[in-house]
Amino acid sequence: MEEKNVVFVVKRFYNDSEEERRYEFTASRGMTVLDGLYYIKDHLDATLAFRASCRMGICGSCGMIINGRPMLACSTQIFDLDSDIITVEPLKNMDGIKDLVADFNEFFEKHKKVKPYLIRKVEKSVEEGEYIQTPDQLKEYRQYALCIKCGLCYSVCAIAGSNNEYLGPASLASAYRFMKDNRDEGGEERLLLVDGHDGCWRCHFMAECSEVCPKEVDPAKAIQMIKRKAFIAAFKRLFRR
Amino acid sequence: MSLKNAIGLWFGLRGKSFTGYAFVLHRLTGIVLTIYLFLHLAFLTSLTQGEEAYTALIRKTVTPTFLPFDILLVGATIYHGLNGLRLVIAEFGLTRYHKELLWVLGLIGLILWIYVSYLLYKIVVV
Amino acid sequence: MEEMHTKKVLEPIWWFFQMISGILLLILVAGHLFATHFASKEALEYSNVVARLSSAPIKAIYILFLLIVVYHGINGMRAIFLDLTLSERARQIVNGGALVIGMITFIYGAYLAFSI
Repeated sequence: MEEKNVVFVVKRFYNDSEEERRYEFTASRGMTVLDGLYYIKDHLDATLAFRASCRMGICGSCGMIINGRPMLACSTQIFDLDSDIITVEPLKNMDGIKDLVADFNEFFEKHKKVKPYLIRKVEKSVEEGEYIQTPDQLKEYRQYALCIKCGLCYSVCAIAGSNNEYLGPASLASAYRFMKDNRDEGGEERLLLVDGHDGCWRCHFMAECSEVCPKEVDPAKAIQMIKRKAFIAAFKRLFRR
Repeated sequence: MSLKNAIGLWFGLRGKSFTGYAFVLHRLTGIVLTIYLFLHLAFLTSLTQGEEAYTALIRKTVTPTFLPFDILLVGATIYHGLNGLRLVIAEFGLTRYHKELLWVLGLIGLILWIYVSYLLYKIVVV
Repeated sequence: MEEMHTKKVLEPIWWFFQMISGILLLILVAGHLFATHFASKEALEYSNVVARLSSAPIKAIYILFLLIVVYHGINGMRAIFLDLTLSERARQIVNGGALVIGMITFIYGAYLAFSI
């Protein structure tokens, strides 16, 4: 099996102590960065902390900055990376808890802010059955429903870093997912939550969010579509009275 | 978050890809061009002070010394304009191919920049 | 509540104007640069500048150009400042400051155009 020596440079911290630790080991083809971290934990340093769960790119736990770019550790092959020195840091634009474990509280608070659930004027009871949808109606928003809340887009967004109030790409994409759902009746209510100065108008289409998204959700596109909806709504409001 | 951190995030190149570089350059040229707008209007105050003052300003500024600045400024204008066109198209949600568009407009902009720099050179030097 | 309503109406309109003014500037700046720098060496001479500005249609285009370029520049700078974490008060200062600086710049530019 093809093997090579690699050095993991891991940014470690706990409380106030911060340090860069180097771990050298032999990686074989097929190993992911997450496999590398597990190897370090098992054989070199049991105190290393990182968050991971499914190992197959669907739980969204192992997002981290690998060689400067936010990626899922479980979906990144060591042999696909350009260098044999691999720097690993916790996600940016979030507080840290320990080592590679970032604090997602603010991220999830912002997600909650856009009411990411079906809003109905009159709720159906369970006995009345489900809200029926055709495949075409599903296709309208399916792409935006694939988000796994891994925080990569939020971490790469320059504005999410400079403005703590900005809702960020994931939360806005989530809002758009419900705007495009024909079962949802919260259109105007939700639009008011996302078209403020800390909502879609903070996006200037750097579009890095769509570049790093492991699920190809394209949050940048979603935010531009929210802008369009907000403009049309404002235009209508202007001429209504 | 402090202004210093924000400047690092907006203008730092580490961790960004091509669309990120486009953003950095767009923001930078936008700020430069806005500052130049103020300077431009301030310089033109000489227009109100009669022909001598204005001609003296032109004598001083339309010279080989200022040519590199002129060329950089026109480059900033071309970049901000063409990338801005891409942003308008993308922000109106008219295309998915904004990255390809960046390459095409970048090439057009580069050719335009070289040609326009030659025109500026011709006016000043020849 | 009324104030909030106005803000909700205006932010999308500002954005739309930013996009439209950008497109218009593409044409206006190109025309301006061509007329003053690329067409001929004599274009920048005092008599030629005065002659250009004494024509009413050209003056009108210049005033429109001024309005659009000042709007686009100031609104762009406003957006950059709003990208910072700001208190409600600081945000009001940015918005108010942009309006005041924009108006002063436009009035000064228009004064220049009409004074010769």
